[in-house]
Amino acid sequence: MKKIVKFFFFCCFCLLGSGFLCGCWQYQELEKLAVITGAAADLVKPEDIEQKTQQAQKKHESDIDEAAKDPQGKNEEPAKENKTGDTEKPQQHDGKKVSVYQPEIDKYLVTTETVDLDTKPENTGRALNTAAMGDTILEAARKNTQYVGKDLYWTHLNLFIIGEDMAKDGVQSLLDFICRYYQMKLSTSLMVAKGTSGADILKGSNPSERIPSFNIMSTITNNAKHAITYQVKANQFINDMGMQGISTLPAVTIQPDPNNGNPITVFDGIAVFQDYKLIGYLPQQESLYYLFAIGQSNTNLIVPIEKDGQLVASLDIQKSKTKMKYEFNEDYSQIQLKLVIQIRANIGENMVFNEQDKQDIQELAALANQNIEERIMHCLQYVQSNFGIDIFNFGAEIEAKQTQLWKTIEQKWNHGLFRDALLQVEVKTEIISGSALKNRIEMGNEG
Amino acid sequence: MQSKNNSDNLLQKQITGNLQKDIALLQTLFTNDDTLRIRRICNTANPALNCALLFFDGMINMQVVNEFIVKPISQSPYRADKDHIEELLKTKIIQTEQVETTAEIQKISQAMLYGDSILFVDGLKNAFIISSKGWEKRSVMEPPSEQVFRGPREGFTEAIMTNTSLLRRKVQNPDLKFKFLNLGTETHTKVCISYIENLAKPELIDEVEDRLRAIQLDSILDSNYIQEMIKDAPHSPFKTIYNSERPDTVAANLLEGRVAIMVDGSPSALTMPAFFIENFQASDDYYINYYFSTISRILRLIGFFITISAPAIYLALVTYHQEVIPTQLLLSLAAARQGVPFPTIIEELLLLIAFEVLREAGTRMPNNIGQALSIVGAVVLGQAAVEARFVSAPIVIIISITGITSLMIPRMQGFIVFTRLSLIILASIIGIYGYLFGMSLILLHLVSIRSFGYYYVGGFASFTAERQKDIVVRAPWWKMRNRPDYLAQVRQRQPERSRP
Repeated sequence: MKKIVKFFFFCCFCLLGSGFLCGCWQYQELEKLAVITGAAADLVKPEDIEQKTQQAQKKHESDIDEAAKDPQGKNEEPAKENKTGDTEKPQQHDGKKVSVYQPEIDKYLVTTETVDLDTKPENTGRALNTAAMGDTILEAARKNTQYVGKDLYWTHLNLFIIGEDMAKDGVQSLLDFICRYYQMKLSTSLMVAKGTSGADILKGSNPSERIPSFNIMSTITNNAKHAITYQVKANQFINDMGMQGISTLPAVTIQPDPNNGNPITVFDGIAVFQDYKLIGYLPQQESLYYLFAIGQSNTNLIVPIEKDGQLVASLDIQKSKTKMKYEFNEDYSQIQLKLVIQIRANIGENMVFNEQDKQDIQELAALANQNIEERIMHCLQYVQSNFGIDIFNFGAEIEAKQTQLWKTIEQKWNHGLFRDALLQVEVKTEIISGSALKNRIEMGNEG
Repeated sequence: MQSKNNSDNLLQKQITGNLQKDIALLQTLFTNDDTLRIRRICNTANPALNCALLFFDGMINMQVVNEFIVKPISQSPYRADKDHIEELLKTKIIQTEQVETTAEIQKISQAMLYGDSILFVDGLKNAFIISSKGWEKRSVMEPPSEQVFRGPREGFTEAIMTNTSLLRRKVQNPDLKFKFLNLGTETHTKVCISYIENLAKPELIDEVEDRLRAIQLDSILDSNYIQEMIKDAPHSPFKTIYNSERPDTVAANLLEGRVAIMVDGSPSALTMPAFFIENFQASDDYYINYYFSTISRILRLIGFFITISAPAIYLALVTYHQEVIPTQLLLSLAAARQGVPFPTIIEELLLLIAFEVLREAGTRMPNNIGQALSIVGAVVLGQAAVEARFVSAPIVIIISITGITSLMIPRMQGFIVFTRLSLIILASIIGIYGYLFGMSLILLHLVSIRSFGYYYVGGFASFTAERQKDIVVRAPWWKMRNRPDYLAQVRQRQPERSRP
C-alpha cells in the first residue's frame, strides 16, 4: 500500500513539475478561435482620417448631449460603427472635456481575413474580412477581435500583404510585430499590394477559391509548375534587410479579368526594398528574367524566341543553373560582372525549324542564347539604371570569395560600384526534346 | 465448525477391514449426500468374497461399473483364501484399466469425488480404488476467443485429463512432464504443472512449483485465481502471465522453454514467463505466410499505439496545440465544433464511455440481439448524436478508430481502457506534454517489471538480429534456428542449413 501511495505522489510531483517545463498554459476550444488565414497592413488613408475626425466630432457632441441627459454616464458605445470602435471614450465623470481625437494617432489599418464557420452550409467556407485601426500594428491587430467575437488566432497566418502606402512609409514596425508577437510565424509569406491597399487584395474576387488568401498562397506554393512569381518568407526578408538593407517581395495587384472584365488578383512584378522602404517595382517581364537569372524560378518558364523580329519558336525551360563571376580592374574602382547560365529546355512551340536536322536545332539554340542574353541584360540594366542597387546578390558572391576585399568595398557597393559595373551575360542552351512531337506539323505538302 | 472438525478427523483415519464399519465410516463422512451409492456384491462360488462397491451417482460410467466390476465379481469362478484375495481381485477379476489399493480414508474420499469407485472387501484392510470415471464433459471444440484462419481448431476443455491428452498429442516426447497438485483447501482442485524437461530451466520449474504450493486459497474455480495469486507485479495492468485455450499455443510455449499450468475446470491454461510482445502474437502468425503475419503483427503494434494514443493526441492538439494542425484541417475541425455544447474532453469521455458500454453489453448478450445493438450503436450514437450536435463528427471518427483498433488486441483490453483514460486526462491538463509524460511513465513501468525473473520487455530491450526473428517480424521457419536465448535451456531448434 505504501508503495502505491509513494507512486501516486511521485506521479503528482512529475505532473506538477512538467507544468513548469511546457511553457504557457493555453487552453482554447476550437470553436472559440477565429483562425486568421490572411492579413494586410495599410496606412490609414487621409480621407479616412478626415471622415473619422468628423464622425468622432459628431459623436463627441452627441455624447455630451447624452451625458447631459444621463448624468450617470452609463451609456454604452454602440459597436456597429467599425471605424470608430477604437476611439477613446470620452470621460464624463467630473464633467471635464477630454480630447477625443488626436490626428497623429491611428496610423495603421490592419485587415484580417477569417473563415466563416457558420453552421449554415451556404455560408461555411466564406471569407470574412474585418479591419481595425490603431496607433501601432499590434493595437490595430488586437482591435479586430471586437468584430469577430472570438479570439483571433494568428498562428495559421501564411500570407501578410503590405499595402503600397505602408511599404513606401517603411515596414520596420511590421517586421518587428511579426518577429515579436508570439502567435506569428516567421514563415509567413510577405507581398506588396501594387498600386492598391492590402485590404483590397484581401477582398479578392478570384472565382476558383472562396478564400482569397488561399488562392494567392496556392499560386505561390505551386510556383514550380508555372513560373509566375516566387515566395518570400518573413525570415528571409528580414535576413536580407539585415545583410545589405536590400530585398525584394512579390507584388500583387488587381486587374480586370481578360475573360469578363471582373477585377481579379494577379501577380505583377517585383517590389524592390531598400532600408525597409519600397523604392520601386520591376515590371512583370523584367521580374521573370530577374527570377530566372538568380535561379529562383527556373522551371516551366516559357521563353519566346525571335529571329529578325519574327517569332519563330518558344522554349519551355526545364532546368537552369546560374553562375556569377566577377573581375575587378587594377585599382578596384570598376568591376565586371558576368552571369553564366546553363539551360536545358524543351521546345514549347515551333514554327519554322526542322527538328530532325541538327543544324536547325543548333540554330535554335544559338537564337535562344542570344534572345535570353538580351533579355537578362535588359533586366540587369533596368535594375542598374533605375535602382542602382544589387538585388541579384552579387555582393554575397564577392564576400564569400574575397572577404577582405569585400570589407573595403562594402560601403561603396550599393552606392555607385554596382551601378557602374560592366555587365556580361552568357547563356548556354541545350535543347533536350520536342516534348510530345518529333517535328513541327507541316501542312499543304501532302495534298 | 464442529462438523468440519469431524470430517477432518474422519479423513485422517484408516479403514478397519470390517465391511459394516467401513461402510458406516464413509456414510458418516458423506452424511446428507444423497448421491452416494452403495452396492453390495457377493460371489456365488466364493462366499468369502463379500464386497461393497461405493461410488457417486453421475460421476461414474455405469457400463464400466456393471460390466467390468459388478458382473466379474459376482460371477467369478476363482477361489482364494483371505491372504490372496487382494491379488486375485486385482489381477483376475476386476477388468478396468486401473486398480489401486489403499487404507487411507483421505485417498479414498478423493478418488470417489473424482469419479472412481471404491470396493470394500470384508476382512481386507485395504480398499480398492477402481477407475470408473464417467462424468459429463464438453467436447473438444475451437475456442471462440482465439479463432484462426488456418491451423488446428481444437481447444482445451474443462476436463484436465482431456487437456493433458491434447498436449501430449502435440508433443510426443517422454520429456513432456505433467506434475499434479491439489490446490484449494475446500475444492481440492487438480492443478497440473507441465514442461519439457530439458528445455525449461529447472530454476523456473522450481519457482513455479514453490509459488503454487504457497497458495492457501479455499477454492480454485478458474485459472485466473492462480494467475492473480502468483503473478509478478500484481498491481500492474500488464499481464505477466499469459493464458491460452489453444493446445498448439501452449505446446509452442512449452517448446520455447516455458512452463504451463493447467487447472481442472478451466479451459484456459497459463504459461509463464510472459513477455510484452506475446500480446501481439497470434497463433495464426506461425501457420500462414510470414510476410502476411509480419504485416499483421506490425498492424497490431500500430493499432495498439493508436488505441491508447489517438484520443489523447487529438485532445491535446485540438485544445492546446492548434498551430500544428494543417490549416485546412483545422478549419474543418473548427466548423464541426460549431454549436457543440460540451468541451472536447467531455465529448470524448462521453463517447468513450458509450463505446465501452456497447462493448460490455455486447459480450454479455445473446448472439441474436447483437444486430440490434450494432444498429443502436452505429446509428444512434454516431449519426444521430452528430446531427443533434451533441458531439462533433471528428470525435466520432477518433473514438471509432480507437474502438476498432482496441479490438485488434483482445489480450490487453484492461490495460488499454485504463491507459487510454489516463492519457486523455493527462492530455486535458497540460496538452501533449501530459501525453508524453504518461507515455514515459508507461515505458518506465514496462521496463521495470519482470515475469518469473525475466524482463517483461524481453527481446525488445536488447536489439540483436537473432532476437528480432520472432518479435515484430516473424521470420520464415527455416530462418528461426534458435529458441529465444534468454528463455530456453537448449538453444538450437534446428541445425544450420537444415532447409531441404
